[in-house]
Amino acid sequence: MTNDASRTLSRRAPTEAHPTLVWKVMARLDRYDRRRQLIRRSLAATALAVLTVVFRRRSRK
Amino acid sequence: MEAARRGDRDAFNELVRSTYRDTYSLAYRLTGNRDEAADVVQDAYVRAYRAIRRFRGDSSFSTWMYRITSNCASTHLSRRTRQRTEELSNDAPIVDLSPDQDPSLRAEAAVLRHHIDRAVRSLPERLRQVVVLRDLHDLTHNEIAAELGITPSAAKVRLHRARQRLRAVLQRSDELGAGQSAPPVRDEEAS
Repeated sequence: MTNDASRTLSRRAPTEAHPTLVWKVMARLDRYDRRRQLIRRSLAATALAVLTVVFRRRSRK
Repeated sequence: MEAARRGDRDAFNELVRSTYRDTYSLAYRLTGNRDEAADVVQDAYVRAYRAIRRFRGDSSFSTWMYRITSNCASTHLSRRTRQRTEELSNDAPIVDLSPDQDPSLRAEAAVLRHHIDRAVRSLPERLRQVVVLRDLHDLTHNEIAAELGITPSAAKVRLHRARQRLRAVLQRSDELGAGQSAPPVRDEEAS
């Protein structure tokens, strides 16, 4: 049985998207989400560290 | 659409599923290469995902995607010009072997499609964009103008020039016979 995903490239019109393209797009979006989350977390951690230092300095005074 | 705009990833995935075929088709028409078209599509959806909150909904999502895809394709094409890569093989079949239709008719249609594809690809990018958006995606002059950030009359002029060029290229390829590529047409010849 031949389904759409297993149809070979040569049997597909060049303007017709391969169904795996949608998975590739999702994977790119997942990577983008993960990277954005990582950046957010590191920014939050940095902000927390800065606030801690400032708070400690103030409380010493 | 609203859910996607609020950042719902599943809703955005649904938008991707419903539009990726058209987006790929446009990307292929603009780049003329399967791999590049796939890259353009992926970049376009990442850009759209980043900017979805700013999407005001003045046009449909697919029209918005057309604009993003054209921009991504332009970026890819300018990068390609800098890298000067050449496609080594052209093994895309021109005949669809499915037996459910008359093979000779399908073959003729495929050859014609191949000629037109080649002629469209021979156009400079700014002319190719208007032909693809008008003749393949059925956008009006005003929509094309909005997409490309030009005036409707400029869109009409570009379309007219693009069609003149296409006619010249196809006539030449007719004169040279099937299977041979026509030499590029210069501006002064087309006007």
